[in-house]
Amino acid sequence: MDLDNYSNIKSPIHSWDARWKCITFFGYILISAFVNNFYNLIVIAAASTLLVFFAGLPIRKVLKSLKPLFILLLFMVPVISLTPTGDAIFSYGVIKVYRDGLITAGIISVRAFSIVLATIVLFGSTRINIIIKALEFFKIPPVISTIFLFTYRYIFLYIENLNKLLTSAKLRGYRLLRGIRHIRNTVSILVSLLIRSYEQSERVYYAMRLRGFSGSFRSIGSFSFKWPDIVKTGIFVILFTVIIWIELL
Amino acid sequence: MSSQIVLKVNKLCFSYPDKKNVLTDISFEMNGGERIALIGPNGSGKTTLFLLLCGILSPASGGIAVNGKDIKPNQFNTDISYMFQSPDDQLFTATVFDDVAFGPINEGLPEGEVKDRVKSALERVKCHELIDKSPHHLSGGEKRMVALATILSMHPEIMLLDEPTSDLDLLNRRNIITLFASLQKTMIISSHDLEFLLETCNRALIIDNGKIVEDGNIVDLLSDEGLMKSHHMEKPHSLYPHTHKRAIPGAPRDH
Amino acid sequence: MHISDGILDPKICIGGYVLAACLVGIALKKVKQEDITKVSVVGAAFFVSSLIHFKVGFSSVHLTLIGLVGIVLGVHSSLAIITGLFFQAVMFNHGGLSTLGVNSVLFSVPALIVYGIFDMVFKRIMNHTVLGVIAGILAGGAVLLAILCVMFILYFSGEELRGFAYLFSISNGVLALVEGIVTAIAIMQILNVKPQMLQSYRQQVK
Repeated sequence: MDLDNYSNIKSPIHSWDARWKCITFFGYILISAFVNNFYNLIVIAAASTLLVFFAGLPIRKVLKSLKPLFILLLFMVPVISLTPTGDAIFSYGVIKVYRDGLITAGIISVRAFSIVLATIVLFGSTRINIIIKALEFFKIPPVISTIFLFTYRYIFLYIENLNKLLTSAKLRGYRLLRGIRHIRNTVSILVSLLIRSYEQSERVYYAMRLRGFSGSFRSIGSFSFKWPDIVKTGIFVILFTVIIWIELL
Repeated sequence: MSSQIVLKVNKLCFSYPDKKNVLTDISFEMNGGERIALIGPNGSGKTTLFLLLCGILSPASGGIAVNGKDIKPNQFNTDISYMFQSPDDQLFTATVFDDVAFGPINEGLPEGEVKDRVKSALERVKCHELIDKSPHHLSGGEKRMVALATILSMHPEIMLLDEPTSDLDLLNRRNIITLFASLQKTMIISSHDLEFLLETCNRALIIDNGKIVEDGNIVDLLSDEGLMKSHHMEKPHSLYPHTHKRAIPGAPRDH
Repeated sequence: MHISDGILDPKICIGGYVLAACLVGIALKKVKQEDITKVSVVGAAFFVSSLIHFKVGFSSVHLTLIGLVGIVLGVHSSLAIITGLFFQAVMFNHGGLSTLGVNSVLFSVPALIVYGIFDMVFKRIMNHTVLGVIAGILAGGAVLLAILCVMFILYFSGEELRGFAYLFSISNGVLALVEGIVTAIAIMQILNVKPQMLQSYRQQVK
């Protein structure tokens, strides 16, 4: 969950210039969403797995990040393959598994895995502030990048705050509540978190103004790309071309 | 250390929309290099005074001048800087470097100088190894020290510090006392840690109910038991010679 | 209650991004310097609040809080929503980067509608309980609207997805009810403790 933990690993993915890496990965994610061909599905599944391998991210952590997707697919695949469309390929009493549904479910699963793996690799191999700086290079409005940066910073603070509030509530019997009283007490916790954040946002604004904030966050340091960056992006450009070519055939 | 007047506060008054007379008729002057302890009970107006001094709030009446120049509210001013009570208000970016560099970058300094300032500020607070960390990975004490570095990197002439020792362990508290002693800066420090103020400051302002009630030598003021009690404070233990005050009567003496 | 990666046609994904960019563009025109910290810091708190589980019978639900975000942040809510969904996708792998645009639109539009209606009501009604109940109904309606849109998109994405579309709407129907109750209570509490938090209140004071 904490995106910064794996950014110090040394790997060809980690050393990739953030601008080239971002544009390549975003391209890869969009193209993966577009794949339908059987061979292409194998290609993107393999490519994403290789990315994880090259980035040297701990496998256990990657599997843990895939958990929400597993759970969703566990629910989605049966539902889609049981939806009556075209021919049934398997039946047991009233339950029928349909061919089209099964294929769609398979396509969706492979696409989703490839995209989520790519997302995990991108954000596991680059610090969030570097990614945001790279996005600024691609002209996303500075207000947006500033909001992204500050939100990221305060998410962690509020997770900590929320845990403290929940602990103190549990010590006073919060767990035993049921029904509307449970909801009311949970809402109180939520509201106190929101009010604290509102008050803090005012102080943070003062603190920023005192240090010369003028509407957007400026940072120093510049990107530099070397020939391996071009090679890495080049490999993906070839991959994209092949995928699109196969899809169009 | 210069002894000319660097800060002049003249008949300052302030009210919040929902709270009248938070501060009334605050006047004092400060010489260069002087360190003032701002003490008073909770809600006496210390933080409000700080916010006025650094130009965040604008006074209802009265004026503040730094080196003869009036402080205008809402203007970026590097002469005077304020460290918030909570370091989480002070550290708002994704890395320690970005946070300490925030002020110098906004001053428009060239890149090389920004880096030098960040380096020397972090070295001053002995936190240079944290430069690439994210603020949310720091401990409470580290956050406090980095927050201090974000102020130091701007080279302010006057530093306003709100409860600087509140989340420090004894070692870091000692480090901060040593650091303050080595800084040639004018400071106003507000704290409930009176022993810390005794070691750091030479003058004290006692503020209660929005008014300055006493202004004088810190040891003289803090050792006046009656005065301290009347403003809901206690005379610091170190000012009781040869006695060991015990909170619980009858508790065993250990020497 | 997000659409995940892999389900949608890329045309819809790109269309979603275009619409989201328009919404962000509108919000950016109205954003002032002091709003930046408000949107980010309060937005972060909303993000974290949506991690709270609510027990409903035997199961538990995560809130979206779209109605409450709309009422608190007003016209800026789309900025907080897109940021929140971005971090939800990259930190928790809920939703996804390819569907970020679509999901942002599906959450922002109901949030903005809730704000618009609540703002009109706020000028006429003073009673905190009544305002809370109205906010609750609006928030529940906002979630229903988002669910309907998701169902609509899934339904027309392919014949095979229709069964999933129905189940999705039914399983999220409970969420609308819980969101309504939660928002009603939250607005009553905020009105009592810190009315300045509400965009409509701030504008009225000005």
